[in-house]
Amino acid sequence: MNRETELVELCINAACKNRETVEKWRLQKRSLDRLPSHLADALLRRLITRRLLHPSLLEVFKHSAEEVDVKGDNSVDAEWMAYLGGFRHLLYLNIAECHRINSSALWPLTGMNSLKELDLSRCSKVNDAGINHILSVPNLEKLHISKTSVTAKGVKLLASLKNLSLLDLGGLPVDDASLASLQVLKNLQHIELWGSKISNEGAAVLNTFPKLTHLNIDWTSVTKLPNLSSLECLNMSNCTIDAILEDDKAPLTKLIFSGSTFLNEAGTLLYANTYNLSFLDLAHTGLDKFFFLSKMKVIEHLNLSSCMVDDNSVEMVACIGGKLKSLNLSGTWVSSAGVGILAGHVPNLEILSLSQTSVEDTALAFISLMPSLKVVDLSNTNIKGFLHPGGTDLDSLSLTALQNLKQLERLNLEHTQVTDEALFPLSSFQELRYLSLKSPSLSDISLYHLSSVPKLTKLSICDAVLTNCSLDKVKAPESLRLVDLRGCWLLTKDAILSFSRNHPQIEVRHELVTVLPFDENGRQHSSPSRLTSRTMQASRKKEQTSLSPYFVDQRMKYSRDELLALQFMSLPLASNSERDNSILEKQLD
Amino acid sequence: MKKEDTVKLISSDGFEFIVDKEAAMVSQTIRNMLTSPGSFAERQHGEVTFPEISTTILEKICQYFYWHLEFASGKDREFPIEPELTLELMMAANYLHT
Amino acid sequence: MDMYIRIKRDKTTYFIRCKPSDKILDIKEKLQELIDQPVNDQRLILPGTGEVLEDAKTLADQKIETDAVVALTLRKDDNEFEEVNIVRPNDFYQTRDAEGGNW
Repeated sequence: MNRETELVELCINAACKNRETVEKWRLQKRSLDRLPSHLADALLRRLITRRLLHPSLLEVFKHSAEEVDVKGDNSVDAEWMAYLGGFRHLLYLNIAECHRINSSALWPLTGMNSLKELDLSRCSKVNDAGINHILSVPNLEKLHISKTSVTAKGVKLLASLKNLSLLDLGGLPVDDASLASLQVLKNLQHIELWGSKISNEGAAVLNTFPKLTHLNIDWTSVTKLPNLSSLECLNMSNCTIDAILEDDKAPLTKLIFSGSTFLNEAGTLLYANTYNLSFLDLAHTGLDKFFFLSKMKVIEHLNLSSCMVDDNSVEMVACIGGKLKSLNLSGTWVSSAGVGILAGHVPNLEILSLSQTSVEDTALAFISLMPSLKVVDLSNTNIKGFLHPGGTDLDSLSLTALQNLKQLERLNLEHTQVTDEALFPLSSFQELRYLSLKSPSLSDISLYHLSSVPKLTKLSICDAVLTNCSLDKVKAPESLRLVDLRGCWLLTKDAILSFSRNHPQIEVRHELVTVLPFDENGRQHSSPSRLTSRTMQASRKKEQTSLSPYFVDQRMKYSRDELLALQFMSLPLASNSERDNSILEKQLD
Repeated sequence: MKKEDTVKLISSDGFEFIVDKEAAMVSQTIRNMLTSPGSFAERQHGEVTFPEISTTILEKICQYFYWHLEFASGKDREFPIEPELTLELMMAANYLHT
Repeated sequence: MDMYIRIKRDKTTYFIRCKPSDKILDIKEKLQELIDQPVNDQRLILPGTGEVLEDAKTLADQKIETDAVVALTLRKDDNEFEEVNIVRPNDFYQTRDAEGGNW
């Protein structure tokens, strides 16, 4: 049954419509006490997302709620905590990133016998005094205090919480001595120690946790690990790796080493038990030998981004390609021939990144032989969209090959040499939802081709030479929700606003819409609100016909590089936000 | 419309609602009562009593069954729920798996 | 499914599936199956206005839409029809009725 038509869902919607509807049911004390916890939790969640929850309304859930998640809610303060402390059946409380929470606000937690999991991550005002309140939550099993102001001394106190199975101490100044004092926690399965002051000496006690399955020591100075026989997931990104995983019994499933340096090259991975490994991230490790891959017969996610992978190494990947779902080869030396080696060996591959490689159009035919592909990243490659220079007939359009990929949802062709004509085959891609293009050699014709992609949801066509006229006339696919037009410098604010009015469901991104008005020719139009729609259309038409040739002139006066330079000079905010995005993406990677 | 194709749903205070079986079976719980093998009294007499569900709520539930059939046949009408009823109705809907 | 109406008498409600083009007589024939009372012994009345619905008219004629409430009265032993009698539940709507709300 469709979830939206389920009666419980309809009731929650009706209950959380606005403050008035909430007032109408909140007085029904008998009903609230009888409310099964999963319904109470669902109702609470909706009240939180609709910002209708306030401390005294919390009160009515004290006999029914088992889970409260108010992560990131800046209104949560000591008063909220006073009410939450009275929740008798609460199992899970997430107040991460609630910046008004300090140590004394945690006092009501004392004696909450039901509470099993508490998340205080990034509550920067919580310090060692707050830990004292947490110590009296006797049955706590999972505790997240990463990036709080708790010190090594406060961490030592946690040794009395004997039931802890997960402890997230990321970003805290945990030292070797405080880790050693936690050895009494024999139930610990998951420890986050990223960014801590742990050294090899401290890491040596990790084998006293018999059940340890998850360990994160990203950004630490640890280079050696003792034998951890139950370890399944290890994150040792941004470390220098000397001797780890020498015990071949650990049932490893996930290893993350992005940005790390291996002192003995690939040797580390050669001896570990990686027969059941499903996830391996070696991005930016600079590795150049990949013999260790041969054992990983069930691997599903492999990231070799910025490693020294050449076409010969790709054969190693092809050998273990049977279960591979995602493969990142961006920034490697793989060429089109290497992609050819993969073709036919990766029947389950859904995500492929070849960004920043030298692959060209001949690779597209090989990619089209990977039947499960949903996401393909070809940005910053030599793709031109044509197989033969000068060829313009349909057969020589190389993107035609991707029509074989019946499940293709995302395609990134930013910073390639594709031209308007080359994009024509995309118009018949049935499942394509996200398309990214960024090139000053694209123009209105591209927009025209792309307007007939049936399921297109997000279109990014940055830096293109689009005209107001084409934006006005384009028949956007019904599914379209976001158009990113940043860097399309010919567009005027009026044209973009008019597009937004005609397509209210589409979010439009452009420097002129979000940033300062940018009118390169100093033209101002009369306020459109005073005009009837017919005169508006007429005036718009006049404006286009009179202006289009003028713009062509403009373009001919400058070289492309000069134009780009001009554009960056006038749009400092845009380039900033782009940089932020790229940083964000790096972090997500 | 034949009597055999209907079912009588009885509220906690004895009010009766006669609805099509097809509509009642929007509820997984009622569907199980009416179709599962065994000697359910419900199956014999085409009657189900809900001692926990008040009349107002049971009527709303029946209205929902029919709204659901309308919705499935492509009619897009909002299902009205008075805010006073939401909690009780939610609990009944939860019990009836609808 | 086109629409349905709720036919009420005493403490009983019949949910009847129908079409806007159905005549009142069609509705009565459907009811006959359920209550074993011949069409001639049934009378359907709009509870708000007290208007008696004529057999030959359609639901659309009478502006009866989906989810509408119609009262049923039956012929008594003395050949007269009983008064409209719809018992209201004694739960939620107490306060609402007091405030003049209707259903």
